[in-house]
Amino acid sequence: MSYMDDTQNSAPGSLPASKAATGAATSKKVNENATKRLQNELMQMMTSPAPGISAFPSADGNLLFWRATIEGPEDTPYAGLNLKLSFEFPANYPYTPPTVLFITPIYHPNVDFSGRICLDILKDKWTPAYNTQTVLLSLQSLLGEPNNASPLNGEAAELWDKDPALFKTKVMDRHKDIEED
Amino acid sequence: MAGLVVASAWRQQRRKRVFQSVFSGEVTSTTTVAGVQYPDPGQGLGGSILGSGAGHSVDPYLAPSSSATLGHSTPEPEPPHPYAPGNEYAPGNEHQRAYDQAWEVVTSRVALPASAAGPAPGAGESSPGLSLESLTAAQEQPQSRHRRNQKVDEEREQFLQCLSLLENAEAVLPEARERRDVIGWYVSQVRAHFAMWVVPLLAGGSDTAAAAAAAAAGTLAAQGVTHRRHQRNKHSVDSTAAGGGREWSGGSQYDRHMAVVMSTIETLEGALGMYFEGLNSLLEGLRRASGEEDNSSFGMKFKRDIHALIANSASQGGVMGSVKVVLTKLAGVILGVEGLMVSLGSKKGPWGAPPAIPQENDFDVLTAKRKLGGLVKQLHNVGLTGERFEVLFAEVMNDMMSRFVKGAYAGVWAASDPEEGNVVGGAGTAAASSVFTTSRGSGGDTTVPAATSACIKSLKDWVEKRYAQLNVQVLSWINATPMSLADLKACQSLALGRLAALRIQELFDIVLAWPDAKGALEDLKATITTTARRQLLTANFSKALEQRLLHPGCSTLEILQTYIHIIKTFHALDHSKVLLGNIEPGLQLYLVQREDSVRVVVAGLLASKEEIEAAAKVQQIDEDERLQRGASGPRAAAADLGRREIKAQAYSTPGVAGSSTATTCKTPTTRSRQGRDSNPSTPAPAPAHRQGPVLARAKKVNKLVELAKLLNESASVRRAGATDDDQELDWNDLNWVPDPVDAGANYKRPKSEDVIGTLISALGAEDVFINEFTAVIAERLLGDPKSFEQEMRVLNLLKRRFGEAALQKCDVMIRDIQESRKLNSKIRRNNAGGPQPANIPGQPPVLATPDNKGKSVATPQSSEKSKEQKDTGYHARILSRMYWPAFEKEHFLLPAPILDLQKQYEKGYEDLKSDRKLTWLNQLGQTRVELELEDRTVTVDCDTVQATVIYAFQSSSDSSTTPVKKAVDDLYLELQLDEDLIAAACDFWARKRVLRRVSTADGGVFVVLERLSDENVPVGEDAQQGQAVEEKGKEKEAAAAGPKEGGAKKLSDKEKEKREVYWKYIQGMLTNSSVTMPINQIAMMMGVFVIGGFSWSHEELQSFLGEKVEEGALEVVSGGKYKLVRKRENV
Repeated sequence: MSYMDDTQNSAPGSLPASKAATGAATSKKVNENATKRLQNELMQMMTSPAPGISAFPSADGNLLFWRATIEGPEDTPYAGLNLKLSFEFPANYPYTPPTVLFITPIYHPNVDFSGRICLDILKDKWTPAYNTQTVLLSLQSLLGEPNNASPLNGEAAELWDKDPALFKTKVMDRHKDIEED
Repeated sequence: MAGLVVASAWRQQRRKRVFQSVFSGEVTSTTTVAGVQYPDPGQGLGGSILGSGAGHSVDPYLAPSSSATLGHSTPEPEPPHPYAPGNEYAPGNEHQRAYDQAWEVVTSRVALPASAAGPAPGAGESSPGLSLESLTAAQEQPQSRHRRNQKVDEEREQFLQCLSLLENAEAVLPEARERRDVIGWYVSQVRAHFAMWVVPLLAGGSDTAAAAAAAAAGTLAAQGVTHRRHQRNKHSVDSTAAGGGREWSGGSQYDRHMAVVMSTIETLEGALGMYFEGLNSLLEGLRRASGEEDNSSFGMKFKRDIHALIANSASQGGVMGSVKVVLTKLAGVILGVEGLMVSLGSKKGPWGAPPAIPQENDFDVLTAKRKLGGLVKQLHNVGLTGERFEVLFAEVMNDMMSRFVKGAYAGVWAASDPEEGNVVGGAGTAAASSVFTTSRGSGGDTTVPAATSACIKSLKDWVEKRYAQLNVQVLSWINATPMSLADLKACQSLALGRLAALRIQELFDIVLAWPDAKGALEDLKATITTTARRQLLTANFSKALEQRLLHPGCSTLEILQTYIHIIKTFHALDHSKVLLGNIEPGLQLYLVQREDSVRVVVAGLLASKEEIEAAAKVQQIDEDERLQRGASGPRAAAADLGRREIKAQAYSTPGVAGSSTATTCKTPTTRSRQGRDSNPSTPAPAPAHRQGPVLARAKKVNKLVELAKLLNESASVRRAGATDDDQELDWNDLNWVPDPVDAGANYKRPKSEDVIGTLISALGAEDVFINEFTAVIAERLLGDPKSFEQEMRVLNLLKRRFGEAALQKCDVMIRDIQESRKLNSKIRRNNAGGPQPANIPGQPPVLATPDNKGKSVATPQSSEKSKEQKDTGYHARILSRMYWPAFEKEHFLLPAPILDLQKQYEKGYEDLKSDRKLTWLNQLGQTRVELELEDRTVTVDCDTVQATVIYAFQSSSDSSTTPVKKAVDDLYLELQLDEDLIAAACDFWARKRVLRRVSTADGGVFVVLERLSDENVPVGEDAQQGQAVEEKGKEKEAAAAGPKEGGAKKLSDKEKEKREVYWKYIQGMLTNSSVTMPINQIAMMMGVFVIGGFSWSHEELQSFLGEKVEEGALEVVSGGKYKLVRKRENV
C-alpha cells in the first residue's frame, strides 16, 4: 500500500513534465492516467491477490485490454470451472466502467449467450472507486447469488430456483474450456 | 641441355599424338604434302585436292608417311607405285606430268620446315632462301647451301616459271586435268605446320612449361633462323633478363614468365615470318604470272586468319597466364602499386598520408613503361592482342585498382597530415591484432579534415593521371577503342567504390581510433552514397562488432567505451543517425544483458574532475611516450622515466582509485589543465617502484570518464541549442538536407550526436537507469560526504533529460544529507559539553531510519576534527525513509561508549523534532579509529562494523601483558553480529597489521599485534598460513570487498519479495493473457507491466523460470514456451 501511495503522490509531479515534453493533447493525458491506474491495479492484484480470481493484460502488451479468470466458487453450480472474461478499459477509465464479457460460454441468469453481463456496478452504479479486482469479486459472488429479478437468461433464472439439478446440467452442458493461445 | 632438348622433343611428340587424335585430318594432309617431295610425279598427290578447307582433305593412303619431313631424306620412301588413287589421267600425259613437276618445284620451294621456325639446317636454309629478301640478296648466299647445287637465281627463276605454269595451267597445259590451288595448299600447309610445331611451344604458363619453353627458345635461338630477327630477339631477351634482374631482385617468377612470353613471341614471330615469306613469294609469283595486282587483300585475309589461329591456340596454352603475370608486374610498377606493396611489407615505407606514388618520370616507371610498350606491340604483331588480351588486360587493371586502393590507403586515416598518417597507420595495424590495445593516436583534434578528403583527391588524381593514361596507351597500342571521358569518370567512381569497400572493412578500427581517423571518415562519407553501400557498411560493421566486441572477453567498460566511439564516429559519418540506428540493435541487446552496464554508465557520469584529469594525464603521458619513442636520443630515456613516475601517481592517487584511462577523447579544456602538476587533493603515495612500469603499459580503464566530460561539455551546448526544437520548420536553414534514403517511416532528424542520450536509451528503459542512478547516488552520499558538487551537476543535467519528477528521490537524498549537517551542529550545540571521548574509536554509527511517519534515518559519522580534540564528534545522517533505497537493518551491539553517544544524539534529535523517531542503521556509518598499540599508534578510517569488531579487542586491563586473543565465534556471541561480517572485519584488521590470525579454529582466532616485531613469531600451527593471508591481501580489495558483501546480504530479503511479486505476475500472465508463452514474451510483458521497471536480466528470468519448472509449478511445452501446471484436472 505504501508503495502505491508513493507512486500516486509522485504522479501529479511527473505529469506536467511529460506533458510539457510532448505537448500532447488532452486525450493522451487521459490515456496516460488510465494506464497508470491500471498498472497500479495490476500491481495491487499481484501483491495482494484475492483467491479464485486473477487478471492480466492481454498478451500483446496492451494495458487497456485484459483477460481475467474466475474460478467457480465452491457450493455453486460453477464449482471447479474456470471462467474466462475479457476486460476492455475505456481511455478515460476509471471515470467510465470497463466493458466486461464472459468469454467462456456460461449458463447464468444474468449473462446472455454472447457473454454480456447484467451487473449494476458495470453500468449506472459504477464509480471510480471500483477497480478490476472489485469487479471480479462482484462477478464471483454473482455466480453464487444471481440477481433473478432482472435476468438476461430467463430460463436460467427460472431453473435456478425450480430445478437446481437441471440447472447444474445446463451449466455443464454450456461450459466449454477455452484453450486460447 | 641435351636432356632438355630430349624432353622437349618428347613433349612435342606427345603433343603431336594428342593433336593428331583430334585433328588427324589436318596433320595427315600436311605431312602428306610435305612428304611429297620426291615421289613419283603423278602419284601420291592424286587424291588430295587441297583447298583452304584442308581439314576435309584426308588422304588415308599417304598417312603412313607422316614422319616424312622436308629437308631430310624420306625415312619411309614412298613405294614407286602406290595405289595411285584417283589417277584418271593416262600415263604419259605430258601436260599432267609437266604440271606435276611444276607443282613439285613450287611446293618444295615454299614448303615449311619441320619445326616452329625451321630447325633443320638444310630445310631451314632452303626456306629462308625463298624469302623475298633472300631472293634479292641471293647472290650473296653461299652456293653450297643449295641442295641441287644451283644458283639462287636459277632456282628462283625456275620457281617463278613453275608457278606461272601452275597458274596458267589451263591455258598452257590444258591436258593436265589434275590441277590444284597452290594458295589453298599453302594455307593448309601453314595451318598444319602451326598446329604441329608451333602450338606445342605455346604451352607456357606453368613453371615447368615455362622452363621447357625457355629451353625451346634457347634451342631455337641457337639454331639460328632468320638471322636478323634472331639477332633482335635475342637481344631483347637478354636485355629483359638483365633488366629484370636489376630492377626487381627476387622477381624470379616474373622473370620466368617474362621469358616465356618473350620466347613465345619469338617463336610466333619466327613462324609468322616464315609463313609470310612463303606466302609473299607465292603471291609475288602469282602476281607476276597473272599480272594482276589484286592479291594483296588475300595477304590481309591470311594475316587475319593466322592471327585468329594464334589467338585461339594461345588461349589453350598457358601463355596468356604468363602474359598476365608480366602485365601485372609491369602495370604495377607503372602505376606505383609495386612500390606500395614493398613499403607496406617493410612497414617503414616513407609514404605519408597521401601515399607517395612514384613519380611518373621515375626511372623504373619509365623503364617499365617502355618495356610494356614493346611487349604489347610485339604481342600485337603476332596477333596475341585479340579479345582475349583485352579481357586479360581489363582483369589486370581491375586487380591493379584494388591493390592500389588497398596498398595506398589501408590504415591511412588521417590523410591531411603526413606525419599523422604514419602514426595512425601504425595504430591501425596494432588495432587489427588486438582490439583494445591500440595505442590511440593523438592530436587528431588538431587536424581539420579538408572539405574533400585527401585520400579521395589523390585517388581521383591517380586514376586520371596514371591509371587512365596507361589504359589509353595500351589500348592505342593494340588499336582498340580508346577511352572516353565517360570511361574515366566510370573508372573514378569505381575506384571510389573500392575505397569505400576498404574503409568499410576498416571501419571497426577506425572507430577505435576515433578521433584520429577523421580522414578515413571523410572518405567514407564521400563514398557511401548508395543504399547498397550503406547496407554493406552496416552489415559489415555489425559483423565486426559481433566478432570483435560483443563477446565475453570484453569488459562492459570497453564495450561502452567503444560504443561511445561508435556513436561519435557514426555521427560524423552520417548526421542523420540512420546508420547508427541500423547497427545499434545488436549492441543494445548485448548491453542489456550485461548486468553492470548501467552501473558503469552511472559511475562514469559521476566521475570527478580529478578522475578526468588523471585520465587525461595518463593519456597525455602515453602520447608523449609514443612521440618520444619516435624521437630517438639520449634524452628520451631519462624523460621517459620521469614521466612514468608522474603516471604512476596518477594511477595511485587514493581519491581516484585507479582512474586510469588511456582512451578518453581529448578536449582542449582538459588539456590546458594538464599544466598543473599532480592533483592537489592527493598526497600520492605513489608506489612507483611497483606500479610504474606495469601500469604504464596497462590500458586498463576503470571508469567511463568520457561520459563525465561529455556531460560537462553538453551542459553548455544544450543550453545554446535549447531553442531549436522546431528545426523542421526552419525555412531559413541553409544546411537542410533531405532525409537519407534508408530512413525509417517515423524517422526524426536528431539534433546532435547526443552520446549520453543514446547510451542511456541503449540500456533499456529510463526507469532502470534512474533506479540504478539513485542507488549509486545513495551509495556515494553515504560514503564520502565532503562535497556533492559532481553529484549535483550530474543530477541537474539528468533532470533536464528526464524531468524533475523522475529524479525527485535523488533531490531528497541530497537534501537529507545537507540537512543532516545542519542538524548535527544544532544537536551538538544543544548537547554541548556532553560527549566524552571514547577510549578507542572515534565515532561510529549511524543511520537512523524508522518511524512510520516518514522521515528518519540517521547515519552517524565521525568528524574529522575529533581526533585532535579528543572530542568525539558523533554525527548522524537523517535519511528520509521513502526516498532512499531500502536498507536492511543489520543488528549488532555497538560499543557502550558509542551507544551512549547515540542515545544522546537521539535525544537531541527528538527534542528538535518532537514527533519523529530515529531508527539506527548502524552498519552504514564511518568511523575514524585510533588504536594505541605497544609500539605504535594506528589511525584508520573504517566502517562501523570494523570499528566495533576492533573495539572488542580492547584490552580489558592495562596491566595485561599478553595481547588480546579472540575467536570469531566468541565475537559472534559478544557482538551479536553476523559471523561473516566479523570474519571480514578481522581480515580487514589483519591486513592493517593490527590483528594477526593465529588459528583457523572456531571460525578463526585473531590476536592483537601489539608490536610489529611480533609479526613473524609463529603462534600455533596455523601461524604461517595466517601470515600468508595477511600478506596477500591488498587494501583496495578489502575495501571493495567489504561493502559489496554487505550489500548482497541486505538485498536478499528484498530480492525474495521481488521474486514473489514477479511470480504472481507470471502466474497472472499465464493464467489470463495466454496459456503458453515464450520467455521473450514473458520478459516483454514484465517490462511493460511491472511498476518501476523489470529489473531482471534475461538470464535471471530464465533461471527463475527454471526453478519454477523444477518446483513443478511450470512446465515447458513445445517451442520452449512456458505453461502453468494445472493444479486440478477439472474438465
